[in-house]
Amino acid sequence: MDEMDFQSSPRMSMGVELELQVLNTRDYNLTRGAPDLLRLLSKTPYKDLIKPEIAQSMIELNSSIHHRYDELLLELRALRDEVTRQCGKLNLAVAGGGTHAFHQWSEQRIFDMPRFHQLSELYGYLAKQFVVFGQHVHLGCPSGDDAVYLVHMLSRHIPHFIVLSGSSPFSQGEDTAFHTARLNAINAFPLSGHMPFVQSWDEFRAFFERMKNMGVVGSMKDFYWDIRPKPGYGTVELRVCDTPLTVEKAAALAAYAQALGQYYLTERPYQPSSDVYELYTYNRFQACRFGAQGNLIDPYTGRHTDIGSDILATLQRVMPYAEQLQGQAGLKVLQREIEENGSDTRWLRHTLEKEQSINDVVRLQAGRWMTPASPPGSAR
Amino acid sequence: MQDLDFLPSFPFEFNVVALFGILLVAAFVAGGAVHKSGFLPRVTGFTLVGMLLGNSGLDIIDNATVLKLRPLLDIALGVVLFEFGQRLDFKWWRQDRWLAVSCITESILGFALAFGALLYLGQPPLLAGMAAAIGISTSPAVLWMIARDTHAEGQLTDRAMNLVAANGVIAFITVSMLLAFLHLDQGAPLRLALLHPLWVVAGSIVLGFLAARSTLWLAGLTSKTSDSRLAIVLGMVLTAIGFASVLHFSVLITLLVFGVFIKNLDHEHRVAAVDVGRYGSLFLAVLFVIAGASLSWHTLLLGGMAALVYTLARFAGKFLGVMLISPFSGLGVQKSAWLGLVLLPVSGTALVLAEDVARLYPQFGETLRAIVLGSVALLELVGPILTQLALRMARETRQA
Repeated sequence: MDEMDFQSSPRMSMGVELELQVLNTRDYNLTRGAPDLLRLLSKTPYKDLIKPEIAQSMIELNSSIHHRYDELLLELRALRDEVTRQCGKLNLAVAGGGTHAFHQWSEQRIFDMPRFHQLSELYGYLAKQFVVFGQHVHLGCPSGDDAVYLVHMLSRHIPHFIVLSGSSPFSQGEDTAFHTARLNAINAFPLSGHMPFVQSWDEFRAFFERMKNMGVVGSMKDFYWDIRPKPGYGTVELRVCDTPLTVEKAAALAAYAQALGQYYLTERPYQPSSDVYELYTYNRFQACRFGAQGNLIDPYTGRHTDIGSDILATLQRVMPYAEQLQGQAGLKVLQREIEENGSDTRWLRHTLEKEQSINDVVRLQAGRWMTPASPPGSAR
Repeated sequence: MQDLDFLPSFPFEFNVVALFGILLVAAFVAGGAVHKSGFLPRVTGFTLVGMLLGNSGLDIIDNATVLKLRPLLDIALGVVLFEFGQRLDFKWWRQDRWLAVSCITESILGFALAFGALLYLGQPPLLAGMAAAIGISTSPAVLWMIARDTHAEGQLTDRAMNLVAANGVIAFITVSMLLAFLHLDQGAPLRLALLHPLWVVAGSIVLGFLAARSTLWLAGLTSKTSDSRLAIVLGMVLTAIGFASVLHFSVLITLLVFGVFIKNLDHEHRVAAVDVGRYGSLFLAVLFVIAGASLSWHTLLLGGMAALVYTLARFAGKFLGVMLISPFSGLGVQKSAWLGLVLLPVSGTALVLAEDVARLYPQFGETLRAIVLGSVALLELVGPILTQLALRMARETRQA
């Protein structure tokens, strides 16, 4: 079997991957706790859902495949509770958030696995600066052609996901003035960006073969695109999100992606257009830098709006599809947040203003992730 | 004033400032050279310089010098014990009760085996008990310096610090309690036998508590962003050290308790991220030089068989204690073995405890010192090397 054979999966089944920060509980810096934490977690029923990542101060939670938002949320909460319980035994904490607020990248250590060492060898300090924390959302597609179409359609909405998930205003102890600084670490990689403007799975496959024959890539894993097809899973993988500060938000983002996907694959309202990619980096930068207040140029109409309003309008449009998939509660979480002008990034900045100490920001950020009672959508 | 009286008299005596400076430079020159080798810890360099300058070497550092430097040594131990006190996190014990169990098991087994071994060798029970109680403590200085130098972090490092802190509390209080029996044994009145340990233990705890409360209050008066907090904490640590010795409390207990209260009372995280240990390292380096200087082949021979058996029995007890509990605790078996090894070193704190007892009753103290110093002499070169090895093998150092 070829790795580029697209494995068909049920339409709009979904799965979530969350990269988490592993922290000590003294000054809340990143700590090399992942190996010990993973050892304890390997004795729990969730062992297959929790994995090592590139750095020893990072773990990844993977959900199972779900069709409904509430089931996904239930599982993510159970996972969070288990991780929190095991952290207690080790005097560790975990937190969401796209970057660690004050960690110095030079202190980072790479996880002891061959692939991670290769990355470190190839990318030098970029591999260590790549210690940022993202959420990936997988959306099931029946065919490769559907996946290619969906990638092009969702590319228009990349700024939405940046704004909604943004949780990384700080880097190396400084306020970056960005809504999300995490993506700046990813932009440096030669194979970041977006998928080329191909029209079908066959075309995409031919592109991949060319790249592979020229030695540019070895596998699909080497493309660090914001959104890419994942033939092995039969999904489209949205990779642009910061890990939010709560699992509730993470589930809501997945519900939004699911409703969007359902809308596009059902209505097919647009022909794919390369115009999306002409404006892609402009819109993306606006979202990264200014959040909901950023400017967005609609590639299909040329109209300017602020990203917040565009999100609200889109939520409105796809709400019937969310209802059909029983994910409307998730979309409401996001809607309320935009209406109230809240976001994880704002919460982090506000916390720093209040506490005056960046260590305390990370401490409270960890508390927010680990506390089961955190009500959904309360990010202000 | 007579002619030429302005000239210093010869041979001139170094004052404490010059001595400290010279020893500090010597320590880090040697430490740096040894550190470059890649496998020996910097601490080993400090100790070697001490041996070279001490009474088995050039004899530049004699007992009078050590006495002069005593306040600086108090600072060194005080700062490091304050830091260790802050590692004694009771919240952690509540979430992993096996950690508390392993600490108690390892303390009791270490004490029991060392006590039994000394009895077996024909030492009197009180002496055996006192030595075994001192042996409950593990060198915080060695672990501190090596963990900092190698940038060690992880479960082994964190648990070792927690255990060493708890061992310190148990050891210091046990030694003080045994003082009562020592007083009675030496024919002192009952009043003295009861009140002296009470004065030392209760006084130290109260002072530690007051220091912690006032530090938290004072820190609250300043903004979190300013450097004032570091200065306030450091200043309060020095104040506590000074008061403890003026009031004849125990500097060790006071500062350890101070740290414990800071960790467990600092609900608003006012000083949680303040790192005074950075400055402590300078004083600690000199402590290692002094410890090196005060030891010789002579002390090793004096301690003789008793010191060797004591050292082995103490280690066996601690190692066994950690290994027995490890299957239940959050640490794997392999890392537990390395943790047991990290509990091996004894150093500055043990010396201070033995000296304090010896000052009260020199005759009793002589044998006690011989055993404890003998053990320190046995371990002072091996201990740090093994500690570093254990941290490396557990893959918790940066270089690994």
